[in-house]
Parts: sequence; structure tokens; C-alpha cells
Amino acid sequence: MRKLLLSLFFLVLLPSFILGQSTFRVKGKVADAKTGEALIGASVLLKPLNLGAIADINGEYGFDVPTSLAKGQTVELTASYVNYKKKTIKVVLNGSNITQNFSLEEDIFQSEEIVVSGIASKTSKAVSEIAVGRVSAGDLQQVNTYGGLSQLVGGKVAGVQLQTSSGNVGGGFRFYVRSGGGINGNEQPVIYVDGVRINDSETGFFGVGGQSNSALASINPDDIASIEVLKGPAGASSYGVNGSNGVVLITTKSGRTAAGLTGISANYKFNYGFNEQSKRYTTDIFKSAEDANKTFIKGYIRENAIDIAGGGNQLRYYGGFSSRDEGGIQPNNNLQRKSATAKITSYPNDKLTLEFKGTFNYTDINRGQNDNNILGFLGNTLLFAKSYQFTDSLAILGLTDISRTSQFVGSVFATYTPIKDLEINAGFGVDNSSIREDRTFPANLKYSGRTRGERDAYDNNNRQFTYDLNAKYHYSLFEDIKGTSVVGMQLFNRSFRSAFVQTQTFATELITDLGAGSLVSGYGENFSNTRDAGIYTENSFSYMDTYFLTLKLRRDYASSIGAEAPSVMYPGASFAVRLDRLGVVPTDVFNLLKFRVAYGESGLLPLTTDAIPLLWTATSGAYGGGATLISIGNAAIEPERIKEIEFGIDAELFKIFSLELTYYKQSAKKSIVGFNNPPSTGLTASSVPFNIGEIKGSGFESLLQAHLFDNQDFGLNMGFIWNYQTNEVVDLGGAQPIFDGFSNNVIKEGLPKHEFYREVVYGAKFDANGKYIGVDAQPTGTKTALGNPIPAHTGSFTINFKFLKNFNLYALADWALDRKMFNDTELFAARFGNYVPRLNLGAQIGIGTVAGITPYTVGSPEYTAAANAYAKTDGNYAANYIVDAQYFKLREISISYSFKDFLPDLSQNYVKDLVLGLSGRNLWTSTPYSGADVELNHNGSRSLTRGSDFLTLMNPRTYSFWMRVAF
Amino acid sequence: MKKINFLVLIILASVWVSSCKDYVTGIDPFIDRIEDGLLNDASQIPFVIAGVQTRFANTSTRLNNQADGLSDAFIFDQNVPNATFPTFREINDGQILVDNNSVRGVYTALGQYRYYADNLIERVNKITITDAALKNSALYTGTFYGAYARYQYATYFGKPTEGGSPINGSAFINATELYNQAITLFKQSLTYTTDPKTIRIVNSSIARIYLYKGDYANAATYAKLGMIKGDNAFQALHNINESSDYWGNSGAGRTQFVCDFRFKAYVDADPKEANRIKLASKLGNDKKKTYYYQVKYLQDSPEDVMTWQENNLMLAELALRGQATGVALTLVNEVRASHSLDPLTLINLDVIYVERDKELFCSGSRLPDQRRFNKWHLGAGTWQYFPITSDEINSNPNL
Repeated sequence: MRKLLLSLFFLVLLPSFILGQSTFRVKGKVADAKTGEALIGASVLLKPLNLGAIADINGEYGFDVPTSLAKGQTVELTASYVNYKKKTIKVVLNGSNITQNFSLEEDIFQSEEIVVSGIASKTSKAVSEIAVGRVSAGDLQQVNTYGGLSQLVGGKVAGVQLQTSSGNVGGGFRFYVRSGGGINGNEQPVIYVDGVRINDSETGFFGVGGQSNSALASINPDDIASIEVLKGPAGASSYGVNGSNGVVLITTKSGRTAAGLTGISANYKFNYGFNEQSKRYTTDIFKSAEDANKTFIKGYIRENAIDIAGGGNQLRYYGGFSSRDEGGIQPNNNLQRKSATAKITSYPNDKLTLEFKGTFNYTDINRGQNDNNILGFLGNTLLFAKSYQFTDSLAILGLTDISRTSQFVGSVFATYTPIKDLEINAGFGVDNSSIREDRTFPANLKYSGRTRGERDAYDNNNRQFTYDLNAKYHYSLFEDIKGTSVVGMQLFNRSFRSAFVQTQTFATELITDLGAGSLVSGYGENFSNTRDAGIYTENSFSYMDTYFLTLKLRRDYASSIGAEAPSVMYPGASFAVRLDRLGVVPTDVFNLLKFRVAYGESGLLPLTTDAIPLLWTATSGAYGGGATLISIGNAAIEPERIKEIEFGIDAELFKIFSLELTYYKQSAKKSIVGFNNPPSTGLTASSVPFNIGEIKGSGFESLLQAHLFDNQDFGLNMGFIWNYQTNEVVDLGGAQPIFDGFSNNVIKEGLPKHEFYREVVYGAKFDANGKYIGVDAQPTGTKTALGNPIPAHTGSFTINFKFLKNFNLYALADWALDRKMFNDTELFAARFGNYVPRLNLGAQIGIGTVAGITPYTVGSPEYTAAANAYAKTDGNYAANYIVDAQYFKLREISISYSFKDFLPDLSQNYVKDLVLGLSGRNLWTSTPYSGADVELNHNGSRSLTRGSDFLTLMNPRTYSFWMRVAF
Repeated sequence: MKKINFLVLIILASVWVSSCKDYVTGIDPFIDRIEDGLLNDASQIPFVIAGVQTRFANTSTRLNNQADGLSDAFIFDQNVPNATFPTFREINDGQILVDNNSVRGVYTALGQYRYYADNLIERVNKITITDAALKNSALYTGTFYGAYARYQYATYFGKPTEGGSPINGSAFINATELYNQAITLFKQSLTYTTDPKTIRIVNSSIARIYLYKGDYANAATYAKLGMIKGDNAFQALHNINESSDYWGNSGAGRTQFVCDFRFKAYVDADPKEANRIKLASKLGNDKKKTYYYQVKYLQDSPEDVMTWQENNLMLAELALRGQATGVALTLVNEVRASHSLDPLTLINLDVIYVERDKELFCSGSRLPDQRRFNKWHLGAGTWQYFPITSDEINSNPNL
């Protein structure tokens, strides 16, 4: 450790020793081309000497170059600044001082951003052939504060929906990318952090009614510099089977990003805030509304984060530590996360680059009990008019379910350039996480099915290793045709172990270890290992820097592929042309105009056991361990094949607007669909996988950004995203529809995936006198499509307004249209006599009594109308509670003030910036949905159940006061 | 130079192809599951037998409990704390939807143990088992439980007023045919055992089928060969992992169903009835009404499937129906004496009906008894059997 610190110390100071020699000076000013204002913090770099400086508060830079390095050679001096186009000027080094000023133009389209274009390829956005979604997380964190990955992505990427399942702190969420990919599967993209494929599963073994925690809750959002999203096979074909639902690539901060060229920078962030109930239950819906409202509390947020970054020419480093405590809006739901990360990039010589990274996350989540659960506050206060009929409030308070996660994500990557134009990249990464979950029912409190308490303990370990190796070769085929070819191999190995024990009957609530329970009520163990491997090639060509073509091919091998399909090949191709460089459009209007088209194939693999006809397990009953079926497979199963083509136009207009438009079309065949055998066969331990069916999807996504003005005192940037998606299950091979576990969402021919599909209530039935005698509903066995929980239209609007020089206002609003939700909470309340609209209607037709309501005369028009309305609140029919759920949400708003103008005098430049901010989240929602929150799903984030609110905790409203200090 | 570079890339790619294949096939095996072929060994047969029995016990407890819910033995009332499942309310009301989750679960489990039993016979017949006792034990298990599954299909599932079910994805098979299949298999099972007590259990099981079919002569024949006083009950065994559903849904675990109030009246009328009608009380959500739930079966209690007492009651009934030779009153009083109950002095079919109600408390027998004695308690159009579930309807092209 001491050696490491010494090495760091000297490497940081190395430039100072160099500067002690005979030198000449390179200096100048960097300014905005339009306004002439100084660009404070712009970097100027002399290549290939790798010397440079950062522009000061006046925009001036200057650095000394050892005279011994000046040999009359021509070198490149490049000025760059965030959101400006970099400019490179050639200068001759002859030992004399050089003065060079720069005027940089705003980069409205962010054309110089480097974006991923394949598994081992990157390119500038200006010439990218595919639509890549990008979140500049580092920039967002300058103007707002974010609690987790889901908040950083939500509403910020065209074509990507981020759906939370509940308001549980640390709770699960799911991505829905474009039109959702194939027929089946969980639709989740694969997620990489700095090249390491990380676990994105839901965690939480013991049921709490529906919700699980997100493995991604351990990620510290403050470490993230940027997030890129490849949205489907067209862009992600070289990721093979892993890219069928898209790829999310998270890049964390590094020394290079944070510190510029040399020196050290540091940031400290403090965040104090609270979560609160975002919508009150009302007595016009639930008789017991006030009981439910009383269960809500303020959940306080306290966060401290510090990072340090810096380095020199041979070594750059970034380190960060953060601690976040966040309380939920009901008792027994909170999160404590501590995260420490270190990233070191070393350049031992001009042929070798090494990067080492390690992150430790310790995350404790106390998971609340709600949803389909008799042990939660909402289940005990919203179903019946009289509350706490299932479980006493003290017993609910006493029940805890705490998951403690220890996670290490580490990686080593090396880039070696043995000869000019040949680059070899090798990397190894690991995500090793262990979770211990403890659920405790105190012995002195009463719980259904448990006598004198229960203690449940669950341990798991998930290890996943990512290996990458590729070789990249740059070449020129002809004078104007440049090519880059990559061949590579990617291996992935995941092993998962778990075990649990449950004991009941404790002598005292004061001692709760497993051994103190006199009755062992459950135990078990699980292990699985999966591997996949892929080889790929990516070949990119450019002609006159105007036409761009990439051809990709990947062959995948996986332990989970069926016996008849040992490997699968997926191709991809993309093309782009810079129309503005062809002279066919006026360049004063179209500063950049690019047409692009991309095609790719990918698909989901069968699961590990899908190809094995019968698998037996041991069920431990009173007869000893007995053989029972656990899985029924299909030896002929093959991988799915999803094809996607996208067309896009990217433009920068009038040096003010940037526009990205993409139309895509997806088609999935051979989707792996699980069919259920008839129960009378007995072969029902699992569904049987078949390659069958076809689904088609298409959509349109757009991103319009406007940099309307920017001067010293005022600046206004706006962004607008609009997405449209649709899909249709074309063919299920004649098989029966596939329902979610609650028979509400369906996958059925002729309908979009996840459509609500239930028996419709037409109205009431009447006897000869016009008296209500029951519900007139669609006959059993026939059902009607009632809309979809996945919205057809989504979008967002962002504004970033700088005013009075140092104030900044940032806001994001998003919306979803053409969408339905199933309000199962109100349905069950109707069943149990707690749904006020039904009680009132009942009283109007003489069923029950409500004070102040006089029954209508049987047979009168008022009676008939009330009876029909009453039938449409019948809680035996889900269709009555599948309702419109479009929404508009003011998702994020933040106002901040930078004290940087006062700081030079006060802090003698030790403190570079001090920003105070006030942020709000989920401040306002407009929706016709009468439930607590329009963005919920009671059965977590991975099941087939979608858009169903059953006693699910609403997302909180959050207020934060934050401070960021830059040193 | 370019050619060399490309050559290197091609060689690399070739090496990687072969290493990829090796890499993905080197996964560590599962620890909790095995392929079917590994069970084709005599040493694994006891494990397979236990599987049939385990799933049988799991099915029977759920089926009997729900059958009591459909009959007039149990009631569902939302005023009972933790009585919330609408599926149980449907069962209680005899207004059962084909996608009733509770019924779907039992119907699926029944299919599984039927398959396990039939599969056991098939497996034993295709492998070599030198241990004759083991082989007979396996074949007995396969035939006995295969028969029992068919008996349960015929007795509990079907159309609103007609028993029957598909088997193995077949068309609908009516109760008569299923009962015949069950009898055939029960008779086969007798060829694999020489244990007198086991033989008597099988005979009682056959007798019950004939009784339910209304074939009183054959019922009497087999009941006479059935269980005798002092025989241990044939039971479905439970433990904490595979617990009693009577405990889980109609008992101390959770009370979706409570007992009809007549059972409390039985005990009130004769406190000694508590020896066989074990009840506990629970105050309703309204804090006014008191309900009574069964405590005959706790979480890991073995549940009676066939007892000598039931055989006695069958003989008594058959005697009253002119088929058996015993004295009905004596047979019934033997049963009562086994619970230290005072003897009856009067016997007739109505008394038998009531004695069966008390003696076969929590056994799923009340549902077929109500049908047999034509004492259906719900209105016209209600289900007297559980429906063939939507899972079967949706996936069985022969229906």
C-alpha cells in the first residue's frame, strides 16, 4: 500500500520535475466563437508530447515545454471543451514561445462525442451508423441529484422506457426498449459497467407480496460518467444473444474525465432530503382512506460523496466514496448504501495501456411488505372498511426483511499496440455479489400461519466473469477508403449458489437466531452454472469521410443452447452517409446531415434446461425425499432469431438545433415460447419450450435538442423526446394464448404483447320489473382485448435554463399515452365493501344503505343507470377495473446557484466551485387514473404481469437540498 | 505485412471457435435435478416410489379440503379473519369458474401423481430389478396410486353434475369408466402384495368405489374383505414441507374455511363427540360472531384416507341396503366405541348419513355422500363436482 501511494505521489509530481528544465511556453486564450466569452476549464493539449493545460477563469491557458523536446517538428495543438467542437491547429516546435488563441463553436449535435458502434468499436457520433442513446450522467449531476441508475435513465433516452414497479426504496424496475423484442423473455437489456457484464436480476428470496429489490440498486450513480444504450439487434448484433433486448453500457468516471490533463481535482457532494407520500388516498374512493394515509411517513435521505481524480501523462486515477441512507415512505423500507471505487489508468509506454478498476458496494435494503400480501400496511388498510383485519399494525411494524449485499465489481483491461495500426485488447472482469437476507417475525406478535414467530435466513453468491479478447487492425484499401477490422472473442461465466433455512416457534422475541426456533419449517439449496461464448468480427469502412459501412458477424456458443443447435450465427450491417459533405444541402442550414441505415440479427437463447426432456428433483415430504418432476424440456429447441432494421436521419440545424430521427422495424421468429401441457398428462412441472410464432414490432423515436442561446448571464437549452411503438403477435403456431399468473395480461395472436384480455361487463341484468338481478357480462370462455399497459406513445421534455449568470434551472417532464392500468386495489376493495363508489351505487338501487342516499324507484331511468354502473363496479370482473392510465409527470426539477464568482477571493482558488441546489422529484402528475400511482406493477419487475396495481406502494415525492464543492 | 496481419487474425479466429465449444460445455452440473434416465436403476426405485406417495399426499389434502368446502361441511365467510380468497368463496357457493386458481392447482397436482404412478410401472417394467420385494413394492405403488388417482378424478372432477375427466390428454372419460379403470388397477395391486393389512386396505378402497357407483353388491363383497377393527388407518403423511392443507387453509395455519356450525352442535349435544370432531373457535372480524375451525389435523398430521371405521360404516350402510350380512347397529357402535362414544340404539340410512358426517369429518367424503343421499345443499345449476380447469380446456385438443 505504501509503495502504491509513493508511486502515485511521484507520478503526480512527475510533470513538475519535467518543468524544472529549460523550457519555452505555449499559451493563449480559448473563447466561444459566437460570444467571445472565455471558456473556463477548456483543455489544450499538445500531441504527441501529451503536454497541456486547462484554461483559467479568463479562458487563458499556458504551459511550458522542455526545450530539449523541440526539434523543429510539426505537432498538433488541440483545444477542447465540453459541448464544443474541438479545434486542432498545427504548430512548429522550434524552441520559441508560441501564442495560439482558439475560438470554439458549440457542438449542438455532440458530433464529437465518441459513441459505441459495436462490441469492440467506437466512432464519433458525427459518423455513427446506428442510433445510440446516450445519457451524459456527469452533466446531469452538475444540475441535479440522482438516487440510482433508474433515475438517471428514465425519460432521457429516446426509445427506452424505464418502468419502476413500486415506490419501495431499492425496488425493482425494468427496461422496455423499443417495441420489446421477441414474444417471450423478460425483455431486459444486458448491462455492462466499464466492460464488465453485471447482474441485473431482481433479488429478494422471501416473498413480501410481489416486489423484489434491484441488483442495480448497488450502483452509485455519482460514479457514472455516461450511459449508452444500443437499442436492439440493428445496433447490437455483435453482442449476439446478449444483445437481443439491447445493451446498456455504463462508463464510470476516470481521471482523464475529471481532471483534464494534469493535477488533482476533487468533489464533495452533500445531499439532504426526504421522500413523502405523493398522493393521499381519499374517502370518496376508500372508506378506510385515512387509515391508509396514517401509515405513511417521511423517509429521510442523507448522502455524502467524495471523489478525487487526477493524474499525469503516465497515470490517471479516479477514486470515489459515497454513503447514502434513504428511508421509504412507509416504515420498514429503507436503504443504506456505501460504495467505494478506484480506477487507475496507466500508460507504461506508448504501446501499452492498462486500466484497473475495483468497486465495493455494501447495500442494505429493508424491503417493505405490500402488494398481494396480508402482512402489509396497504393490504390491511385498503381492502376492508375496518382496517387491520389480517394483521395487527404492531405486528406489521415488527416484521422486517433485510437484504445485505456485498458486491465487488473489478476489472483489468489492457490495450497493446505491437505495431502501427494493430491493436490488441484484452480484459477480464468480475461481478461477485453475496446477499444475506434475514426475515424476522417476532415471537410476541401474531402472524397468520406462524406460531410464536419465525426467522428466515437466505444466503446467495452470484459470480459472473467476463473475458474479452480482440484484435483491431486499421488499414487503407485505397487512397480514400479506410478500413478497420476487428476479430474478437467474448466469454461469460455465471455461477449462482444459494441456501436458506426457516425456523419457527421461539421461546422469546428477545432471541431471534435460527437455532432458537424449535421448529424447522423450511430449508433448501440451489446451484446453477451457465456459460456462453461468442466470436465476432466487425469490419468498418469509410470512403472520403463521407460514406461509412460496417459489416458484423457473430457466432455464439452457449451451454444453454439445445441439443440440435450447438451454435448460432447472427449477422449485422450498417451504412451512413454525410449528406452535408456531398454538397446537396445548404450547409448554413444543415451544419450536419446524416442518413443512416442499420440491420442486425440477434435472439434469446433457450434456458439451460430447455433441451432436456425430463428433469426430476427431490421433494422432501413425510415419505422421505421423493422424485418429482421439476422441468420438462424439448430436445429440438433452438435459439430465437430477432431481425431489426432501422433508418435514421441525424441533423444539426442553424447551429441551434440537433435532431435525431429513427424508424425501426423488428421481427422475431422462432421465439421460445413455453406451452403448457394439459394437466391430465401430469407433465406440468414447467411449460414446455417450443420455437414457434412470430411477433412484429415497429416504432419511431425522435430527439430534438435546442441550444437557443448562451451567453455569460443567460443560457437556454431544451430537449424533446417523442417515441411511438407498437407490436403484434402474428403467429403462435395455433397454440393457446399465454397468460400471466393472474390471467389478465396475454400474449395472443393478433394482439400486442401484454394486452389486457378479460371478460367485459356490458351492464346489469334486470327482472321483468326492472329490478337489478346481476351482471350482464361476456360469457365465460370469451374475452375482449382491453388495451395495453405498455404505452404506445412516450416522451419527455427537458429544459436547462441558466439565468443571472450563476443560477440554473433544470426540469424534466415526461408522459405516456395510449396506456391502461389494472386497478386491482379498487377491485378487491369493491369485493370487500370498502370501495365507496360501489357502495353508493348499491345504495341507489337498494343494495345496502348509505347515509343520505335514498334508493331510486325500481325501473326508473335513474335506477337503471345506477344499476348498470353498479354492475360495472362488480369486483368479480377485472375488466371493470382496467382503466385509462395515460399520464404527464413533472418528474425532475432542480434549481441551483453557483458561488464560483465569490470563491477566488474567499478561498484563494482552493475551492473552484460551490453549488447549492434544491431538487424535487415526482412533484405533479396529471392522469385520469384514480389509483395511487400510475406507474406500478404489483408483481415485481420480471413477471409477465404488467401494469397491475394491487396494494402496491406509490412512488414517493422527493425533495432534496444538495451542495457540491469542487476543489 | 498486411497479409501476415490478416493471417494472424484468421488463425486467432479458428482457435477461438474450438475453444468456445470446449468452454461452454464445461459447466458445473446441477445439484438439485437429474435427467430421467438416471432413475432407471433399481437403487433409485425407492426414491421414485416416495415421489408418488409425496405428491399423492400433497394432492389428497388439498382435494379433500376443497371438497369439504364445496360440500356443506365447511363454510367460507369473509367475516372470518384471514378468509379472503375469492376462489374459496366460489367453491363454497358452487359457482366455480374454470380458471379458479385453487381448483387449477389441485387438478394439476392430481395429474402429476397419476403420471408418477403410471410412469413408475412403466419404468419398473423396462429395467432389471433382481430384488423381488422391491419390484413388487414398486408395482404395488404404481397400481395402487394410479387407481386412487382415477378414483379421485371420477369422484371430484367433471361437469356440474357428472363426474369424469380426461386422462393423459384424452377426451372426457366419464366417472363410470374411470371407476372401472381404478378397480382394475386396485385389483392388479393386490397381485403385488401378500401383506394381509395392505390387502384389506385395497379391498376397502375397491368397496368404496362400488359404493359410490351404487353397485352395492360388489361394494359389500369387497367391504367384507376390507379393513377390520384394529387395523391402522391408511393415511396420507405430511411434514413441515408438505403440510396438511386442512391446517393451512382450514385450521390453525389460516382459516379460509371454517366448519359448518352443525359440527359445534354435534359436540354441544354430546361432548364426547369432541373425540372425533376436534374444533377450535375464532372470533369474527365483527368481534361478535364466533366461528369454529378444525384442529383434527395440524401442520404435520397424517390424514386418514381409509380406516376400518369407514369400512364398518360402509358395511353398515350396505347391510341396511340389503347387501351385507352384518348388523348395521353393531357395526356403527363399534365405530363409536373406538372414540369412547355411547352406543346408538336406532339405525337407518339417515343415521348412517349423519354418522358418516361425524366419523369422516375432514376427509372429503361429505361431497360424494351429499350426492349419493340426494341432499345437495346449493341451488340448481351449482357445481357438484370441480370443473375441468381452464388449463386443460385450453391445451387439450380432445376436449
